[in-house]
Amino acid sequence: MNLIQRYVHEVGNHLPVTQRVDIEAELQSMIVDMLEEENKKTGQPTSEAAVLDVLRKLGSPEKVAASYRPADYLIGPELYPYFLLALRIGLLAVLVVFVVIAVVRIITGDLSWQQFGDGISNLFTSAAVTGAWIVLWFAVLQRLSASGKVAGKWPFKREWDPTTLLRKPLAQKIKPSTPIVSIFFLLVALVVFNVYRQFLAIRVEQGGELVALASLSDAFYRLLPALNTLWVLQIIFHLAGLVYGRWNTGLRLASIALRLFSLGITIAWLAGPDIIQYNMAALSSVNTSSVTEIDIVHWTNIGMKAVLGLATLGTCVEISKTVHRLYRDRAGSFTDGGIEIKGGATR
Amino acid sequence: MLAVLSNLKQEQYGYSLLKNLAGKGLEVDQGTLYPLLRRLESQGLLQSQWRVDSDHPRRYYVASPAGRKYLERMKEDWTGIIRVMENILEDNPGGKS
Repeated sequence: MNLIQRYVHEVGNHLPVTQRVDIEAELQSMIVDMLEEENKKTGQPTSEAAVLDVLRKLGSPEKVAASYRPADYLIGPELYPYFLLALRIGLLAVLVVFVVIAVVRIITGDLSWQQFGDGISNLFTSAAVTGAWIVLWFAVLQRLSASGKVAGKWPFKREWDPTTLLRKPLAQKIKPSTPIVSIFFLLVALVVFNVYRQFLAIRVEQGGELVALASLSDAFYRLLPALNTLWVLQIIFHLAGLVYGRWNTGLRLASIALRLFSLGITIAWLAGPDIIQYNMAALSSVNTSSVTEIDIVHWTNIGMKAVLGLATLGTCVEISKTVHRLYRDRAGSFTDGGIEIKGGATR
Repeated sequence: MLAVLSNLKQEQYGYSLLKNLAGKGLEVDQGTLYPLLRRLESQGLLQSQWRVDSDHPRRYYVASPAGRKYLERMKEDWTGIIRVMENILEDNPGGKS
């Protein structure tokens, strides 16, 4: 096999099988034409140097083969936004599962530091595997799309209609610091209220040792499972906020649902027995005022109920604000003559 | 595309087309022209056939009927573009806005 044939054969190795024979034949013909012209110019027969010169002019076999192939995407521009969305959802799901498992194990006291470390390692492995599957799935979709097998069946193939913009609610940004800080404090709350609840007490020295003066009562802890559920759901909600980066209808509805859940717990405490209990013996040993211990207990619990009442009121206000924002996001889409934006991304 | 289609009203093989275009001032790389000819053929704008001329086979291309119609449309578009650019350049002879 001479140099020209080897070159043509090498180009063919980088071409689809269906096109190979035809392109190889044309390439061979073109090279011969180029050499004939060179021979006419120099008046010399074809030499190896002339062949090398022509092949250098054409370029490497990979480059020549690439010029015959259309632009090849692993995941093309049309599919890319959907790929990113699927990747976000997939990775969020992995993170949520990890957080839920970790929280449940913390609560049940079944988590050592080594197991936590193994869990972190599993988190990264699971995230990588999930990401790889999503990339593979979309690469397959891209191939099917390029081959025309799914043409006209996907949303991105339909002609875009500008009026669809009016049906989309306005999106407002979520500052990353808000969910990050919230997640941190929620995790702290989960750990403290479930593992270190003995520290949630006011202690006084009595007889040379620290005794609890006031602590949270059984009436409080009876609702701890509900509180734990609420906190875990709030962590998931804030993670979703981090992933999406903007408020949408789903997040607003989730926010309302979580506030209603929180409202239920607060009202249960408000309506139920006192959530603070006192060690009367310890209290009487430190009480140097003219107010009786019974009055102290009574008024502090009244005060706690007032705080819970204010919290209930505050939650109701927040719920109505979120409902209003939800309505405004959707209602702003139907303003005559265009989309109305009031003062930019306000909350 | 306009240059290639307009030069393929008469049958030519790839390399002769390359030399013709170069002779008229349009230097085109082989790596650009040959894939373009294949794409135009796959779109139905060109027809081709292998013929054995002289000592080796050559693939000859010619504009198809659809290609000739498309060429006429492209020529109108091109003339329109030239007219628009001349208007723009007349309004801004020094390149200042």
